[in-house]
Amino acid sequence: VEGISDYLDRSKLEVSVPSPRFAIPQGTLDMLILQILSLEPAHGYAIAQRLEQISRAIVQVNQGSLYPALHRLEQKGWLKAEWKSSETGREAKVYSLTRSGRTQLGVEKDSWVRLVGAVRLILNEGNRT
Amino acid sequence: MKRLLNWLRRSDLETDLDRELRYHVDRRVGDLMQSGMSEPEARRRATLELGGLEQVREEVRDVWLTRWLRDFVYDLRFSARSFLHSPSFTATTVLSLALGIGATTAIYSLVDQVILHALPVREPERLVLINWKGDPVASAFGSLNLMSYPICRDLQLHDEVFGGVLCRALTTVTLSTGGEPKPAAAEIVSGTYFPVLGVGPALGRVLGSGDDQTPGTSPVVVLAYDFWRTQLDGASDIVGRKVLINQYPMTVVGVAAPTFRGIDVGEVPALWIPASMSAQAIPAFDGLLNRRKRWMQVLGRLRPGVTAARAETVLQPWFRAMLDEDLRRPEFPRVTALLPP
Repeated sequence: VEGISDYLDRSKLEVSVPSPRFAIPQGTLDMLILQILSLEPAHGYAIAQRLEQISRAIVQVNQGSLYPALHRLEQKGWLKAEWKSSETGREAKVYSLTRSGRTQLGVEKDSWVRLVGAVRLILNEGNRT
Repeated sequence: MKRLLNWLRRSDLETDLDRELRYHVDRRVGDLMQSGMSEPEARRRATLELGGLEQVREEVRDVWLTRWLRDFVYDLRFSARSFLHSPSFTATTVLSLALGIGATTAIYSLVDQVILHALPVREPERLVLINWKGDPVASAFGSLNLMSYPICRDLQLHDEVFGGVLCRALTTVTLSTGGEPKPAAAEIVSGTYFPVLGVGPALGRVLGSGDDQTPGTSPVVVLAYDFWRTQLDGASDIVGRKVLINQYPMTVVGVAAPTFRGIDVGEVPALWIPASMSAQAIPAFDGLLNRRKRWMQVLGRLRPGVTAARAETVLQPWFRAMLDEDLRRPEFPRVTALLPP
């Protein structure tokens, strides 16, 4: 029963602060991470901060989903990670984009632009009638 | 061999991940303290923002384990030829090893003590959330803290540690009390829910085990006090009235005690429905008697003098036996390698 997953999600005992901000659309986080890392290598905390700064008050990035996403991207070979000493002097796991990661970012940006275009077309169509 | 290496590599990954997360939390704590927050508060906030460290760890583990399993199945398929002379070969043995590992790491945990403590119920400090954790292979049965109704019934038999066991799931139903049908939060509960929590009625009666026997035979609901007051103007003749739950008629048998607002923080149910009526309360749901359908939280009330650790120990054989039985069921995933016809 596919429809049940909704009920399952709701029956979790969780304490969360409700937020007026949008949750980030599924699948977009990967693209945003690749984009941020295309500018310069960064560790998880720096990526979290940058996501927060860029998207402030518009979308909400669940910080908890950042690390699984980083590991997934690393596994796909789009990112590589290395322990390096950070700005505080302490060692941090620094992620950088691989060549195939850069290609992937191109692919994702492209399909994102096409998707947004298509959605806009559909919405405008609705306005005209 | 590769498989073995992967399992060994796993411990590297864990330390690596711990180190990575520690870095994140420490940096966040530092930043928050600079803005004037006390250290314990900052630490609490930083962890909360991540949605809990254990949760993140688990999700990252899932990412890797999925990959390893895929590699492993690939290896297996690749070497299927060599098994052709013994077509009865199945992957069951190997998977049972994986499941075995899952089972040894399985724990019953006592979580969200704070939440449980804040409940307006009898002796909340003795209530524990029964949960297990393990590798995703075992999670066909359950990760998170969701379990099936038959498992809840199993646990009710463990009266050597529990004074009572209840299960519950929150859902949304379309409720009609005479006027326009509206969505309402409903808690689907075992017949033991009210007795085990120690919550009584303000009016009429609460649900009991008599309401939770044969599926489909107890079309009754108990209303939340606030809902009754605000949405039904506290009608004194409410007991015995019919309401429609997803257009299915059910009878109001009572109103719960005024202070009781369910056991979820922030989510207040309008009414309680017995689990026996889950097929009517959740459209297209027929998993009540399915042992593998995870959808309910199970809470137990520890007997006086029994610690959570003791309960864990006592329950372990039951848990292992259940996993063992699962392994033997005919539908358990297996790989076959057959000659093409």
